[in-house]
Amino acid sequence: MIIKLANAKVYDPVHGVSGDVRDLYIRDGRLIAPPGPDERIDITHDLSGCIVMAGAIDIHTHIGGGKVNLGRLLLGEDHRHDMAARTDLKRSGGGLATPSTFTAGYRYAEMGYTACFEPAMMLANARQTHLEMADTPMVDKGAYVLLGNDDFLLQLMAKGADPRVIRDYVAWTLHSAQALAVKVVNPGGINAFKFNQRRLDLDEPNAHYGVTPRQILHTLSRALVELGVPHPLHVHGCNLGVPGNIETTLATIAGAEGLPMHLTHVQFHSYGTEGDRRFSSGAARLAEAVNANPNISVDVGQILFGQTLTISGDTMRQYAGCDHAHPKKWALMDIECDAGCGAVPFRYRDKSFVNALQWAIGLEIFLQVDDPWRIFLTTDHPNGAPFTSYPHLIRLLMDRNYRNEALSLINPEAAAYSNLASIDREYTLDEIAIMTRAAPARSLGLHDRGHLGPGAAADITVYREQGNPEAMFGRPALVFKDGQLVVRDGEIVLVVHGSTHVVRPEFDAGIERDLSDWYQRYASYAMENIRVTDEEIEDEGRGGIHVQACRDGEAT
Amino acid sequence: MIDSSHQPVPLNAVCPFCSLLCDDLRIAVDGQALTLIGPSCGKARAGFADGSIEDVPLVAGVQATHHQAIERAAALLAGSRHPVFGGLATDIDGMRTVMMLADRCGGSVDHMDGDTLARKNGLLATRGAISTTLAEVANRADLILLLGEDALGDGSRFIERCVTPGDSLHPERLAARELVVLAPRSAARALQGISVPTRHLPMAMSDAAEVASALRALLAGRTLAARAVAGIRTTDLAEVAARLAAARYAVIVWGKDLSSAPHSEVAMELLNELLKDLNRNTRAASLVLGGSDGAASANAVCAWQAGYGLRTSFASGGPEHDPTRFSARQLIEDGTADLLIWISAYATRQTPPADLDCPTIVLGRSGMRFDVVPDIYIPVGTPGIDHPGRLIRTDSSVSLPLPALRESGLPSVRQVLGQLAALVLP
Repeated sequence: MIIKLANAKVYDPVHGVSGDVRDLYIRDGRLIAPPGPDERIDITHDLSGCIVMAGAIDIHTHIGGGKVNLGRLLLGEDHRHDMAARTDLKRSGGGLATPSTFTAGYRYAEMGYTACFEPAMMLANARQTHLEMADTPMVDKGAYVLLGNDDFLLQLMAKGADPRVIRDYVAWTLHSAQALAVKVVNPGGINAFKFNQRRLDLDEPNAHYGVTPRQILHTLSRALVELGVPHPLHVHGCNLGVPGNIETTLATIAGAEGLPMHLTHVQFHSYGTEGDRRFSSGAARLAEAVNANPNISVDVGQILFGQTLTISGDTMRQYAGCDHAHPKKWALMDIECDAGCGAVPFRYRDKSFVNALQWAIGLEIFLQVDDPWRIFLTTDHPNGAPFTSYPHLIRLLMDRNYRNEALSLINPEAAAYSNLASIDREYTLDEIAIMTRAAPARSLGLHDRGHLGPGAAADITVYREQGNPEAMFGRPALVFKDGQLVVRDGEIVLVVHGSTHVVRPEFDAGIERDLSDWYQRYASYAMENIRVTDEEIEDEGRGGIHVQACRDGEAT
Repeated sequence: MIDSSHQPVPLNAVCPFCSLLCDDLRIAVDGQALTLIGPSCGKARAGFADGSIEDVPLVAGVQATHHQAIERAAALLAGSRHPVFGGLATDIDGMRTVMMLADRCGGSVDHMDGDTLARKNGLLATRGAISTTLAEVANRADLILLLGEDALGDGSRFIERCVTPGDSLHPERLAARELVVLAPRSAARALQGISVPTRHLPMAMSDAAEVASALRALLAGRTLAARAVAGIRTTDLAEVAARLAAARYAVIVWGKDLSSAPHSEVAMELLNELLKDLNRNTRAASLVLGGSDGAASANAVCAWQAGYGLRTSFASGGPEHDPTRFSARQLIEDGTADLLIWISAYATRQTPPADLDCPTIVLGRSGMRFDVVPDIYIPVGTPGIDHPGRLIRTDSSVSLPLPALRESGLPSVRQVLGQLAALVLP
């Protein structure tokens, strides 16, 4: 069967297509070259007046796993205020900050997203993370496994293990957790907090292992490069939220020494200490460093005003923030000599100097980083704001007048501290298509996603062209997932189960001898039992696995 | 995997009978008979020996075919205004299917240990928690304060696995480790022979709040006028408080004999607040043992699918949560629910409460016997014995796979509910 999308204005930056009116053809879930005159077109959608992009991809969104579930149990208010009733098609659920799994999948699809990536999966919790993602319909998914706070790695580093051993361990972890990438959260800091260290700067050693965050970053980055894993080390840096942390962030960028590195939710890591309040924007310096270092990519972690829940593996920094919890409750957990998690509810207020400046800093970063291929649109859902606020955020980026009106409503002192009003830049549709589709797909190594060339998966979003980007991006006219029409006029018309994306770099399985012994001595389960199998994810045909290729690594 | 000879074949097993999910069990399989070889645990021994492989359902107490039972159950479910899914002693996949049916049919969900879960969920939702997991306790703790005797004795391997493990990442912590037990005098026997220094301060579980309150006051530097609190000398409590403050990583552990006690919310909240106080200066965390009979799994699945823990109702078209109003008992007694679907795949004695007057479908472990004959009984297999399963552990961070040990032909809860759904749902 061939589906034709006719007369659409296509934005496909991978192929240099920028608003040209084109016809697209879908067969068997994939985009194809225009068929010959003899081939029958079964369905034609006339998309005159519409804009077509590849399905959007969220590179960093906390949608599943133990910490999210802890958040759901902690903040029932989020669900009481936002109940989503069942329909003939949809399961019930609800919640904005920590939506139920079904609701998360539906709402992403209803916004034109076709893939979402959970950035903080612990191996100890990988099975549950995959289960929650399996119950997240409509979208493809994948997860980044946490390393860098696990006692096994720190022990290896402390005794100066051969980099090949570390590389094998990283690869084994990717396989065992069924992960797409590796993330490090507060490198070594979660572990250090278990030893009662309350701060850990880039060159401060872990009190027990003597290993510094800089060493951890370098070790993991190098291992991933050698393994050929497409996505660079996904870094939640030191000192999240600490005034003055821009210095740490700049030092982290310099410390990458040219190795590829992705700095996540950089808004939370771009604070200076200038001014009477000792809190200022480091956005310009951050943007300058990103612009100057092509090995660096970032996502922003924009905050937007309102109630949310912060959930993070960064127990050290979450504990430091617990006095600001709103409402006044929080949960923290040390987990399995692997990592940890903390959930702290928070309400960002536009009249608060700090919150208002955080809002401005995020936008300043978006607008001052030049290359849309290296900056991705995120709110670090739900830490900066729920993902449902993306259309609003896109409007702030695309519409300077709208942005300046919003700026005039925030805490005036914060507004005065920001250079936002002086920035004229407005994101174009091309740039939005890059930062929400093409660039995340390229960064994650998803070769057949994020573009509309022949052979690509037919994950396609159709918007009605209109002056208000928030309205346009908030309610797509049509969404196709793997060639199937799943959303019409912003409503689900077909429920599908996406696939799970993973990488499987080659490694020497000899590492399992050491690991098996280690698990036997110290872990609370056998090594074999923590691995997530293909059968579990495939679940009798309900889920699929896409193994993404690794580059030829630089392993020796 | 089936063994037709009479030579028992030992298989590796993961134990589904308590929420510690020990995965180092060896089970002798002789035909369909299962015997625990080791390690020793009374709960596991009884659990593997329980049940049968009878697969004949009962409809109104009379033997029926599986098909007849499913059709009759489907008719009851289709005619129900508000079915309540109770018991919920199943695995993750069984619970996912329960949730699908409850949502689609406008029913509600509650676990057989729902009162305990409701307290735990309630405490988390009002105050939060600072907690830890089994491997952290085993490797990192230098002080373990245990309240109650649930984790002691032959029915739990908590002491063996977490208090006196053979090895530790941090041997200096293990070498320095002390165990302080606040529990009734009856705990004394189970404390003999524990290989770390152990101090038992006899305490009735109903006094836990008073003792926790005193400990918190002492930790805050206050002086208590009383010479004893709940029968414990104030000087002894002051010593415990001093050890908590001095510990590098203190863990306060309690089990069901605290969390299921009436009004235990106060004690648990005080312990949580005490832990938060301690973390101002040092590290400390709680470990709450519980969530057996699939409770941890059922609660987690309910949370990710509905956004709330158990005692959630879908009667209004979407999830609503109420820890008292939506207990299975309350819903049946006040006439809201008109059908009980009781799911109990682990222990044949865990039958529906005999005093509940309500049409009842039981999906129960094969071999169940009833004082009050349910309308329908469909025997099911046990996860980790008759079919593979997945369960979430007591600390709610780890989930483990449970391999099947025999081919009994008994269906899983997921399968039976799936058959029901196929008949009932459009």
